[in-house]
This record gives sequence, structure tokens and C-alpha cells, in this order.
Amino acid sequence: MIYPVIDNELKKYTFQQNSDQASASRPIDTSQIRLYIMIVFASAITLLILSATFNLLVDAKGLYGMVRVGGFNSHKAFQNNYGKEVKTFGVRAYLPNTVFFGASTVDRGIVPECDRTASSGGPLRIYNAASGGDSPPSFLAEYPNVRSIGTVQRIEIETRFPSHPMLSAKQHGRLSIPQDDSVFSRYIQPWLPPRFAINFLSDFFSWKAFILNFKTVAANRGATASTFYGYGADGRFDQDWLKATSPRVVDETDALNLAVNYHRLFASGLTNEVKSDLSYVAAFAAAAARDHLELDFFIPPEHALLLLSYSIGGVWPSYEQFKRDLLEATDAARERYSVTIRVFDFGAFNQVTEQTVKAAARATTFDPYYEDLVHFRKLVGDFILAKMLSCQISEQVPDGFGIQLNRNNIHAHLVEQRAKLDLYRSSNTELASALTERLARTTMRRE
Amino acid sequence: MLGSLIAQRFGDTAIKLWLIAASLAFYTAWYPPYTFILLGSISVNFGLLRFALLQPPQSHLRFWTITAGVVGNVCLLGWFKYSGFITLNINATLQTNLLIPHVILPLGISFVTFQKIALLIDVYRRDVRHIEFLSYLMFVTFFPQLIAGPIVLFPEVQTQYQEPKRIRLTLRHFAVGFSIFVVGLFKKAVLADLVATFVSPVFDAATTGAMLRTSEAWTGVLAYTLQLYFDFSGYSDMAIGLAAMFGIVLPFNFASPYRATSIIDFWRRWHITLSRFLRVYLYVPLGGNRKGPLRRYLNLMLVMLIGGLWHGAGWTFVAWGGLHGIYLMTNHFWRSLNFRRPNTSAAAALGLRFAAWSLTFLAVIVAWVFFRADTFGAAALLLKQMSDPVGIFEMFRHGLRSGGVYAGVSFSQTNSLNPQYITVVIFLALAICLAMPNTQAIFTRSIERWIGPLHDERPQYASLIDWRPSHAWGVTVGLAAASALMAMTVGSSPFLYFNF
Repeated sequence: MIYPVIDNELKKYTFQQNSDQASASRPIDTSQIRLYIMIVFASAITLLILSATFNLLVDAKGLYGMVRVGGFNSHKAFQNNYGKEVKTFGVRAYLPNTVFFGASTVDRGIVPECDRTASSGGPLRIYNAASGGDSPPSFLAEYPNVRSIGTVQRIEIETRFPSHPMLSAKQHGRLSIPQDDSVFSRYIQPWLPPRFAINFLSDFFSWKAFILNFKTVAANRGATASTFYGYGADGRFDQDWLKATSPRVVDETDALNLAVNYHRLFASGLTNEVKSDLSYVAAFAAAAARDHLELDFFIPPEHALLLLSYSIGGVWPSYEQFKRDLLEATDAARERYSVTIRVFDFGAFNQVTEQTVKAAARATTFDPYYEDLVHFRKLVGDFILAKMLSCQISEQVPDGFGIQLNRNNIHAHLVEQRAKLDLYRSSNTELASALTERLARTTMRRE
Repeated sequence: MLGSLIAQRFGDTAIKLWLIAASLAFYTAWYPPYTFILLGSISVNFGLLRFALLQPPQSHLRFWTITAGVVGNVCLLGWFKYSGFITLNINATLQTNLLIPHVILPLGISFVTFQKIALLIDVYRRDVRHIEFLSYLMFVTFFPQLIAGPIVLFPEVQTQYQEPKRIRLTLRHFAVGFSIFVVGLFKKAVLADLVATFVSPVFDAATTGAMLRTSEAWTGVLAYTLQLYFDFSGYSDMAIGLAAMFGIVLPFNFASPYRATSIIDFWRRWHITLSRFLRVYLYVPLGGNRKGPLRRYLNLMLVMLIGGLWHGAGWTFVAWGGLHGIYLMTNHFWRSLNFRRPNTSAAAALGLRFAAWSLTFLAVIVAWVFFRADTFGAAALLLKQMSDPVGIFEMFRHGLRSGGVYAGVSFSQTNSLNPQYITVVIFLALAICLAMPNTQAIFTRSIERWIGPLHDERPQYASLIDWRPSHAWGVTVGLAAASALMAMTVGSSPFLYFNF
């Protein structure tokens, strides 16, 4: 056998005769190898079967199918922290007709409790496909998966000002829906069962399902009704429930720090070409027209302190322009592709977004609307659902929370918001001056 | 595999043709038009190689034929990988407005180009004197190593391709190859993807200039350090395992690099086949260490800068290469001082060794920050936060835990499972890197015994847990395979080195 050897002085390789040529041809007991291979496959199959059996016993029908059953299993659907795992495989038996795309805000805030009936008739089956750090370009990448479910009729898209800058060029480069035209999907996929059926089966063999089900069993041991629904016997928000779903109390210092950080996070991606960032609107519209879907875009309900930071940081005009551009882009897409598109604005001053920012000494209990300035709690998610999808929830949606934008009302809406901004600033002078000082400090440091 | 079993009944040529066809189908499935580029490049290279072989050893025509081949391959790589980068920099420097070409990078072009260049130089040096077309086609297209290495030298596979009845899917080949493949799959699907969830949130937040905590910065950077190792070494193991199933021995690519106690040692353990290529086909021809220390340091820096640029068209990659160049220069300078090690106790020697390891590991981690960061600003921010003394003190008090959302960094996928989850996962993964025997140590003897000889440059290992077809190994490999499959059902991230 000839093989290369590098010489000691690293000049170059030489290729030498191997003296151990006979080593490969030593007699080997074939039956031993055969037994080894059998043991490998038997062990693998045994583990897969054991895990599948456990998963089947704990969660045979999929999470969303059991969302209305109190007690066992419901815990997962209402435990926001498990959102990622829930949505990953919860879709298998659920066959949703409405899908939510968004970042961590939607991921945590929208839990399909109002999964009952839409006022327009027919059951709503909401599938929350949101994920931390996601943004419209990454939703586009996910679109083929949603389409493959086959039952989706409506897509709700969180669209953030100006675009979610947590995009990494290394991860999300494209602004179009990937054409799944691989050899596999073109020639082999048609012969296979639908993808959701494969998901259905594969979930039984999933480690995450296994671990999650394991935790479900443990979590449900001490579960009470309030664990699932969020209200105590007195009709008030159950602090334990809030703690379990969003374990965070924001005090004034935290809020100001977060305002500065989020302001920089969102404003850092700001360019003069906000319009070009909205090219995903057309991409979604084209796909929706092809697949006969309806689209809703919504601007998320950011806390008033963050909105104030836009004003103090000098990007409020861009925020307004973003809303106008979004409306313009959806109007153009609607006309071009003949598809139903609505735009909702929750990023405005109202009773929800103006949730009081507490001083540190009083920040011992949870507030119902926000866990920080952008991550809204489930109740706000319910309000969004009620507003956009007209579904029934037990709470009254506060007046002025969310507005459907159109050509006729946008100007008045923006003027009204400017006035509310001034009012908020004048009634929160200490917060405003602290925020001004901090924003100036970080800007100086960056310079 | 079924095709291979059938093809091998018809002889050596049939199995080779089958593997080439399968490799091309594999490549075509990704992006069909680029298969023609691959085949075109193979044809031109093979033509040049055959022409060069026909020329007398010292002839100018031989020299220029080989030069044309090398330049052509570099230009092809340059167009696909660096045209956008170069245009961008011209526009920025000269204030021009040249159109930036958006070229899709052909899969594995960086690896394939290096293999082809190495063979051209081997032919020029007359280390390779005969090439048959099928062997060359196999050498370039063989699917396990086509995309992300290991970077194979033609002579180390040529003899295998030509050995009668060598390329076969047999029980013994399958037993060894499948076991190595499963180890690689486990590294990728279970370990790399597990730590990967901590990486992007931190680096993305740094890109936007968010104020990271020291613990968050360390979490992201340590996680990336581990992810890159498990991901790439996992891929290499899978490639080696797949090749071994067909009776082909590929060189190992990793040898527990994070155990290195010097940067020189690190590069003997990390991406071994790339270091080998850079050393033999770049560093040595540049003069290596034969033209004085100054020239040696210059060569080291140049090689590392080129190595950095090879990984990606970006200044952060160049900075990464430059940092390693500086590290290597420092390391060689230190060695040249010839300090005599004092006669110390075993404990003190161990302490010195630990200090050397810590320094090396820290240097490697710092360089990875540039490797992964999108911008220099992000890298600087991360390094600043990582070195903040108050933050470091806090981190040691509270661990790497980063539950919830701080400074815009969300670990929402992970923080739910356990408050100390992140710390535990990262240190567990680190312990596996440092304490567990690597694939080389486990499989070297079995490959040599069951398939064929390995490259002789490998370190010698005295592994206590040599792989053998025993019951215990069968159960271990089976459970690892099932675990990897279960981890993959939820989805897995693409291999990192596919980008390079």
C-alpha cells in the first residue's frame, strides 16, 4: 500500500510503501460482526419504541387538540415558556386554519385560548408559529411549511418598525419565499404521505416531545385550574399564574434600561429606505394569492415608554412613515394580487400600552399587560386576537386598543397619536427626562 | 447502498461508476446548473494534468500548464466566493458605484479547489506520475468529502481506488463506517444543535449594539466555540464513516483541538487536513522556516491571512486569520527562546500545563469572536463585555444563566427548561470536548485492522476504549443513533462549514 508521509523538515510529502499491508486482510469473524450490527439496530429501535410509547401515552392527540381540557396536558398549552416546543409538534393533530407569525412577543403573548368561534362563524384553530428573534424574512422561509399543512386560510404577520434588526445576514438573507424545487420535493415527495402526517409520526420519536411530556407529567401533579386560566377565585389575576407564565417584574430602572436597549435595537436598523424593507409584503401577497389565503399585518403593541424613546431619540417621524409605507405597500399588493389584506396598528398610546412603570420598591407584583416593554403577556395577546379575529374572550378589550388602518383614517390616527405622545410625556416628566439623559449618554458613548 | 451492493457484483469499475453517479446526483439535488460547472472544471483540470504528465520534468510547458491550472482554479474560486466582497470594497474605497454581483456559492467549492490545486502541485513535483480518469473523478466528486472535506490528497486515495476489490460495501466496512458515522451524527444533531440555540441571540444582539451582560457574551461565545467544534468535527466523522462503509479510508480532521496547550499544538489538532494543505502547499513553498526567522514569521502571517480569507469573504475572517498568525508567530518566537523548563514537582508541572491550556483556549475563543461576528463593532462589543471585571465577578457568582430577556437578548427557547440549564449544558459540552477520547483515538486501530492503513502523520493514541464489535459498543452506538434521530425529528441547523 502506498501512502503519503510528510518528512521531518516539512519540505514536502513523500509517498512510501506501507509495511502493514496485510493488516486489512486479517481473518475476521463474520458472525461477530453480524451480531454487532443487529445489536446496534435493535438498541436503536428499542429506544425509539420506548420513547414513542411514552409520548403516545402522555399526549396521544397533540397539544392543541386538548386545549380545552383542564388538567392533564393543558398545562403545556398554557405554559408560555414551552411555546416553542408546543408549536413545533402541536400542529400535528390540530390542522389549524389561522397561523401567527411573529417574534418572541407573539411567541409568548398569543396563546390560543380564544380558540372557540369567530364572530364570522366557524371555529378558529390558531397555530402560533412565532419564534424569538424571527422577522418577516424568516417567516417567508417558514411559509412553505405552513402551506404544507394544507388547512391554513389566514396568516397573521407581526411587522415591526422598521424591520426586525435581529436579522443576521448569515442566517436570513432572502426576501422571497423559497422555491422548494429540490429533486426530493419534485419527484419523491408526491409519492409520500402529506408532510403533516410525517410530522405526526416523527413527533412520537422526538426527544423534545419526550422531555416535554416528561415535564408535563411532573407539572400536572400540582396543577390547579388557575394554573391554566390565569384568574384566581376572586376574579383577579392570579399572581402564581403570572409568575409561571412570565416570571418577570419590571421596575423603573429596568424599564429605562430596556427602553434604551430596545430603542437602539430597533432604531439601529433604520435606514432612509424603510420602504425597501417592506418588500416582504409583496412576497406574502403573491403567495397568498396563489394559495387563496387572507393576510393580516399588525404592528405590535410596544409599551408607551418605548414609543416615547422613539420621540426622544428623534425617530418618531420614521415610525409614522413606517406606518404610512406599510399601508401603501399593502394597498399596492392588494391591488396587484387581488388578495384580502388588512393592517392593524397596536403600536399606539392606550390603556394597555400605558401600563404604569413602577418604582423598584413597589415592583413586587406582576402587572397584567407587559413583562417588559415589548414582551406583552397573554392577556394582551387575547386582546389582539379579539380585535383582529373577532373571537370571544372573557375580558373586555380596552377602548382604543388597536385600530384597523386604511387610507381614510391613517392621517387622523397619526395626528391623534402625536397628541397622546405629548400628553404621555407631560404626565411622565420624570421618566421622560431620565430617558432623555440615558439616550444622550449612550449616543455620546457610541460616538 | 442497495445500488452499491448490486454494482459491486459487476466489478471494481461498476462500483466506482455507481459511486460517481450517486455523488453527482447528490450534488445535482442541491442546485443542478452548478453540476455542469463542477464537471467542466473536472474536465479542464484533468486535461491539464494529463498534458503536464506528458511533458518532461523540467520543461517550461509543464510549469506553465500547472501554473495555468492553479491560477484557473483560484480565479474560479475568486469569482464565486470573492467577487461581491471585492466589488464592495472597491466601491467603499474608491467611492465608485460598481454593481455588486450576487453569485450563489457552489457547494464545497473551497474544499474541491484546494484538492485540485494540491494535485496539480503534486504532479508538478512528480509525486504523482499517473492519473486515471475514474480515479480523478472519484477523488473530486466522492460525496462524503465533496462538500466540506476532509481535504484529501490524491495519492492517499489513489492507491485505494486502484486496489482490486477494495471499494466494497461489506459487513466489516459497514460495521466500522456506520459506527463512526453515528458518532459524527450524534456530535452534530445532539451536541452541536443543543449549544447552537445560545449562539445567534447573543451575536445578533451584539450586531445591533445592544448592551450585553458579561455572562451573556460569554454564553454566546463559549457556545459558538463548542458548536463549531461539534458541528465540523461531526461532519468530518460522518464523511469518514460514510467513506469507510465503502472501504475508503479518509484522513481524520480533528484530534481534540480544545485540549491543545499551545497554538502550534492547536493547529495540529484543528482542521488537520486544512493545516496540512496550508503547510505543504503554501507555507513550505513560500520558504517555510528555511530562510531565517523573520521570513518565517512573515510566511506564517501570510498563510494564516489566506487561511482566514478562505473561510469567508469578509474582513472579520481575515482578522481571525491575522490573529492566529500573530498567535503562531508569538508561539514560535517563545519556542525559539529555548527556555529550559525548571525541575518542578508533578503538581507544579500540572499547574504550568493548565496555565498553557488556559492561555491557548482563551486565545482561540477570542479569535472565534471575530470568526462569527457580523461586524468588527459586534466583535469589539462582545470582547469588551467579556473582559469587564465587574461582569466577570458577577458571572462567577451567578453562573452563565441568562434567563428571560436582558438587553434584548432572548433565550426563550432554552430558559424554560431549567434555571441553570445554560451553564450545565455548556460545561457538560466542554467536559466532553476535554475529557472524552476523540474519534481518532477510538477508531484508529479498527480502521487499520478492518479496512486499511491510515495516513501516517496521525498522533499515536493509547485509547482505553478502542472500538470493537462487542455487545457494549453495539448498544452504545445504537442508543447514540436513536438519540440523534430523535433530536433531528424536531429539526436541525445546517452544517456551519457549508458556508465556507
